[in-house]
Amino acid sequence: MAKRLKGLMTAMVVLLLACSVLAACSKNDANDSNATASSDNAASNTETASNTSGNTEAGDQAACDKPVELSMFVDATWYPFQEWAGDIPEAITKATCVKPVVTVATDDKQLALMVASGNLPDLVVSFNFKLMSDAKLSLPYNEIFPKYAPDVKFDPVKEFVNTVSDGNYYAIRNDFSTEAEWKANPYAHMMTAGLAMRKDILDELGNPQIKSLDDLNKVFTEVKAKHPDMTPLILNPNWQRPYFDAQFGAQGGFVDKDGKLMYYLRTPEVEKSMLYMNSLYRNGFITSENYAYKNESETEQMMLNGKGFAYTWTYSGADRMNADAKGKYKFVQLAEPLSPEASIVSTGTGGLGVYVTKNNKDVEASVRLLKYMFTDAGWKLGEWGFEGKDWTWNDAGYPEFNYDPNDLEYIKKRGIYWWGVPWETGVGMALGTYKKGSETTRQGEQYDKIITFNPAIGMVNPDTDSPESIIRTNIDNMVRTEVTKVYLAKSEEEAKKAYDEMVKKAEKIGIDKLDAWATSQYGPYKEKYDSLTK
Amino acid sequence: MNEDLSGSRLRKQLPFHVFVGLGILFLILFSYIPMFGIIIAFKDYRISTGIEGIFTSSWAGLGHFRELVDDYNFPNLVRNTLILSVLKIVFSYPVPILFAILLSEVRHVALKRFVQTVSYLPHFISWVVVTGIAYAFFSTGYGIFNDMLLSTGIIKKPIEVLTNPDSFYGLAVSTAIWKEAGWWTIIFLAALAGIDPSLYEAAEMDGAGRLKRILYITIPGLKSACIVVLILTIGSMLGGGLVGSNFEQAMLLGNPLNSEKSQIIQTYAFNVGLAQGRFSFATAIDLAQSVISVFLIFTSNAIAKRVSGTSLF
Repeated sequence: MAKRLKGLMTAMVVLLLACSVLAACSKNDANDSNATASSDNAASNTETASNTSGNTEAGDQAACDKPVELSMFVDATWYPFQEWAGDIPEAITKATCVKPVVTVATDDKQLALMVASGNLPDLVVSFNFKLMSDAKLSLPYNEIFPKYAPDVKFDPVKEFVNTVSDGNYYAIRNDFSTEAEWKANPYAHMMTAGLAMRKDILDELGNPQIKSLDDLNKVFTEVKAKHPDMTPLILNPNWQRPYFDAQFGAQGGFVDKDGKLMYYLRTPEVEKSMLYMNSLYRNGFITSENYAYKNESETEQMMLNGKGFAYTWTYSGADRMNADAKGKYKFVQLAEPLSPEASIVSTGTGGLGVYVTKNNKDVEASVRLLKYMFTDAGWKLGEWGFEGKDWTWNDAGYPEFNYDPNDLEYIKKRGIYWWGVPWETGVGMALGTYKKGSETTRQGEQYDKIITFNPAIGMVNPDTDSPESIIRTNIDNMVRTEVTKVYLAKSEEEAKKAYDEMVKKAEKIGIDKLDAWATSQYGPYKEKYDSLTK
Repeated sequence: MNEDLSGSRLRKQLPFHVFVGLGILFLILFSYIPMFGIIIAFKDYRISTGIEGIFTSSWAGLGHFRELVDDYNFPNLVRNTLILSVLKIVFSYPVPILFAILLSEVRHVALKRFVQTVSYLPHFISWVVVTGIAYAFFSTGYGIFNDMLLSTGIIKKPIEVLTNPDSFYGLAVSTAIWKEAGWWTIIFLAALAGIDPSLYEAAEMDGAGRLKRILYITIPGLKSACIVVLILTIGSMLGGGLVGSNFEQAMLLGNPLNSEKSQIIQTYAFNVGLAQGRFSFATAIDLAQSVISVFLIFTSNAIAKRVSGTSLF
């Protein structure tokens, strides 16, 4: 027995040694091939790229026999594309001689574990700006671009909103455009919260004018009377209050009050909005169980099954439900703001960033890919497809598509859209959704008038584990638990009392300290932002 | 003796030692070595510093534990965790024992097997699905339970089971029993199989009825298994004990409407700790809970030893 066991152990040791030798060989091979590919393409970076304009065409780059393969981790479990496949990604590879080898996160903590173990890929696509904007993990754009693509000049506002406390910026995040860019593109409508309503029921009620919240309440009352089996308003769990917040001019996060920042909870506009939500419940327009739903497909399904009259979602809510209802019902957006106080302050500074990690094995090739994708030609190819074939540019200033951008099967087959997303601008994304006469456009046109911009507020963001971050997390957690007491109070007095209790708890947690810290951070950011934009 | 240990006896047992060794290696690798990570409960650890940061990050002392205790919701979290755990022990512990005894008394073999299979099948259903089933039954909007009561005129207004904080404990305990009681019955059925059948035959000849046989043979025969399971249950009490799943239930059946009763320490650790990337804080919460669990297991073991003479160690 012992002899056999000895033999078995010897065999295992030999097998392990063989495996490690093979692994070492394959690693060398990979390094060699990358080195070759890099040098082959070193001379091809001659284009000038900027974030707002560029004329690099797919195929302009020098021919490449073997693209550089870069591992790319997408830190978003919901990402619809799992691989770099289809004629569009292939065209990007042809243009840059870079082929990302994609891994999409299987759970939210995967990136944190990769960071902890030091096992990072070449590129990371992530919303986690705070985590990845760290010199220990990523290479700063302000160092690698001057070195490998000195002709690239990013918009100073974009550089500014992505710069962290060490003075570096490690990404130019997507979905952000400057105020000037938004104004230069009248067909780009920023996404806002919206309210979609059943058109057949509005017709039945004689299409009453809805110009104020009182008008809206009257319509809900009529719907309740004529359709007692129907809920007048269903709230999307992810979009419960934003639509009503906008009507009262209430903002989320930090709010600028006379040059000082305060956390949203104590602003009078938020109080009004919360108390209005309570009145909706007391009047029987929404059910209490609505606050127990966690999944938006569940509430959308209720709308599609005819159980609700109005539905809170984004400005695309009606268009999306019209597509999903397949003719069963027709929905329209309540396009106009409902009060003179209605306002929205855009404080966003971007979403997904593409981070070049410290482990990156070919920084030059990575910059080549980024440079191309940051050009108009690059991200439009990734997001919309081939110009002339898949889309044409309308002289007015928006794209017109020759395919249905909502056909997921088609865009998956071609690899359209999602590989353009990490580099898209806010304006670019909005232009892609522009459709003349659509419900989305109808609301977008009206709400553009009430949007103002202040990304300096969005830059005020405490570091994870800092005392301010702990306070904010605790307040958010407390509000999540307590706010339903306001929404579901039996009377207005009780709702007001519940709101005051919530504020008291926030004060006990340390909201004053948070406000003081935010104000101290805000001044320099605002000053710099104003100097860049004026 | 010495020769036995170092010589032929050890060689003879070598394959078994290899098997045991693999088990011990597994425990060392995945249970003991990771325990060094507990140290971050006392440090200001940041994930970006990697594994090295576990040792190099600055000390925070008991700061994270203090933060937990200072939280405005802490008394509520402790109350919910304890009530839910105690209720689960009180109501779920006797169920598999009673069920095993009842099943052992069923003479129809096919029926016995059918009932046993049906009762343990829910164990394999995930909590996500169980929650979906609970919504399908109890939703005020589309639940079968409310629809049935409304249509028969028994109630005029739907009963709020899923959103009423007062019904959360009952909902959690009953769904946990439904899901897990059948599975734990297997252990007690195995213990019942170990009882010598001649005892029953002798008792029957002596004129003992069915109830007497259960009282004087079956229950004493189950005593050891009951005590071992009880000690393990008390040790894991804060996680839900025998039927477990306090965390899954609080996450999935909990909602903003019943959060007053559904927020427990584990969900707090997840929401405020892990989800925010605050691994030190999450570790501190977990460590505090583990210390309480270790205390509970030692205490229950000592009590069991003194009272019945049976214990785990």
